[in-house]
Amino acid sequence: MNDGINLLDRYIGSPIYGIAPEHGIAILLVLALAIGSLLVRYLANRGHGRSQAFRERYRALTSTHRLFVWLLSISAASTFGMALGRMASPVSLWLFVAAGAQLVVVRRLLHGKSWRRLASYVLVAVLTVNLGLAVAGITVDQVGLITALLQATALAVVFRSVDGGKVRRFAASATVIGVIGFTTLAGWGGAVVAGIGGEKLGDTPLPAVLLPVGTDREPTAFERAEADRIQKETASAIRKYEDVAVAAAAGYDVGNIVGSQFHAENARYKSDGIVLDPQRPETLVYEPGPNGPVLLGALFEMESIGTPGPAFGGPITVWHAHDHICFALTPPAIAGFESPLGVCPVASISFPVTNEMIHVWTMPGVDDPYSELDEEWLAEYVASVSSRKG
Amino acid sequence: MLLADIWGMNDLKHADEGPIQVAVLLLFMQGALAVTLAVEAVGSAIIFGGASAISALLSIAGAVVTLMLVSKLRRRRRSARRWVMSLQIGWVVFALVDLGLALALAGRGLTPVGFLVRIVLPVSIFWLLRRPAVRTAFSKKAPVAESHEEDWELEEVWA
Repeated sequence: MNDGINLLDRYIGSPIYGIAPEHGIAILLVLALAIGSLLVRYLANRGHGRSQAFRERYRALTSTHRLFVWLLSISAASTFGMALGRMASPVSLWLFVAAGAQLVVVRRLLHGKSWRRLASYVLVAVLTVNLGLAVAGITVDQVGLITALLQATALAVVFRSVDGGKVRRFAASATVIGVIGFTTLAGWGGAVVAGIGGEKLGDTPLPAVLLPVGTDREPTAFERAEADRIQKETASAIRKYEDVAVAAAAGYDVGNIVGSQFHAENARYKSDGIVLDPQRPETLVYEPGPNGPVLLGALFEMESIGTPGPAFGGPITVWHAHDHICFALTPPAIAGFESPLGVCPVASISFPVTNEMIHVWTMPGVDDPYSELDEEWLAEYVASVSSRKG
Repeated sequence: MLLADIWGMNDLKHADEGPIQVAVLLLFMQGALAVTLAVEAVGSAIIFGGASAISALLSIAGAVVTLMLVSKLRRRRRSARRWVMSLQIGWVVFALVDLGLALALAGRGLTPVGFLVRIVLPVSIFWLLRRPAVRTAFSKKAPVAESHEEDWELEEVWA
């Protein structure tokens, strides 16, 4: 159980699940918008002329148009705030233009002028350019995602009265769904690009990976020797588990090895009170091959959430945890990572944080036994081992 | 064509049906999110294999059911209102389970987007469908009143 401390403050996670510091001002501006609307209401009740006129114009709108005013106003405030937070970047100019264009649409609607065509152009342009920025490497955070969702909903209001042929109406639905889909995809893409190679202290990790807060440094000779010793002892100790029948007899769950880098857990070793024992790794990692599973290495795991793993190799052996893991209930198994939209697949729950763990790759010739495996090298290794088995 | 059946909502049967239209719109957004989640779940099932395939299939079913309910709600099917409200309760219950886990294990809440999508959106839809005017509209055939919503704007955009 958590001791009341936010464990995630001890870790650095993917920006896709968090709020970038430079976007804090966007939140403040949205709060200012809410306070401003209350102020207008107060002044209108007090008989202030312009506030009363504003309120009358708002009240004359239909329910969906009122929703649209709020969606676009919040989006404009957030976009303006993101622009202020990125003043040093050329992107800020685009964000200022986008915020201004959205406010122009709101103003036209409130003043009873034609707005729909302009709104569709503005929203499609804003969403498309922002998507392009995400693809180009501007990492999407929670503020960016919320703003995009508000804009997508506003676009749905614009398309609400699409009439005519089925093709046109299908296109309207597909556009809104596509906007949400591509925004999410761009979010994943940006987060993965930002997190590739993020394994050392101070790096930005991949989505759903947590690294302890700290800074990287050169390892000492002792740390190098310890890292080397643990790797060699582990390789020697688990060699017998190349035969999955032996692993099964030892209690590893090797009944259904599927997917890449399958993790076969040993329930007994996970709660035996022993940590980092090469003779008793908590998990073995296999890759399915054409002639049976190929043993890749082991995973050592701490027994409780929030307990740091022993830094036996210093900066070489950085333990990691996972966050936003989706756990299926039908039957119990990992179902993936939580979407940036904050949801797991149906009938699965989100696991907020796991114990700390560390992989030790034991394959001969592996480049770095404590880092992510190179996919190409792994494929070649599995092919060569499989051909020997065959 | 399920997706084509969602739009063209200038079909107010009663002047008080604005909240229904907002509810339909928000439910469509929930359906659109469900489609994205289903695509993500299929991707996860390909990577993780095994049991996650069942979650992916359920996610696809969830997206289809949500979009079907949008169409039925738009057509004022009485049962649709109850089904949509039940669906929203399901969303919130699962969100609260995750929130409880997050608080207990990590001392934090849902992500801001998660809070918006899993709490604010379903509660808003539920609240809109609970309103007396909406309940009346779904409980009997309401008299047809003159629609004063935005028909005039159609040609402005799509002509």
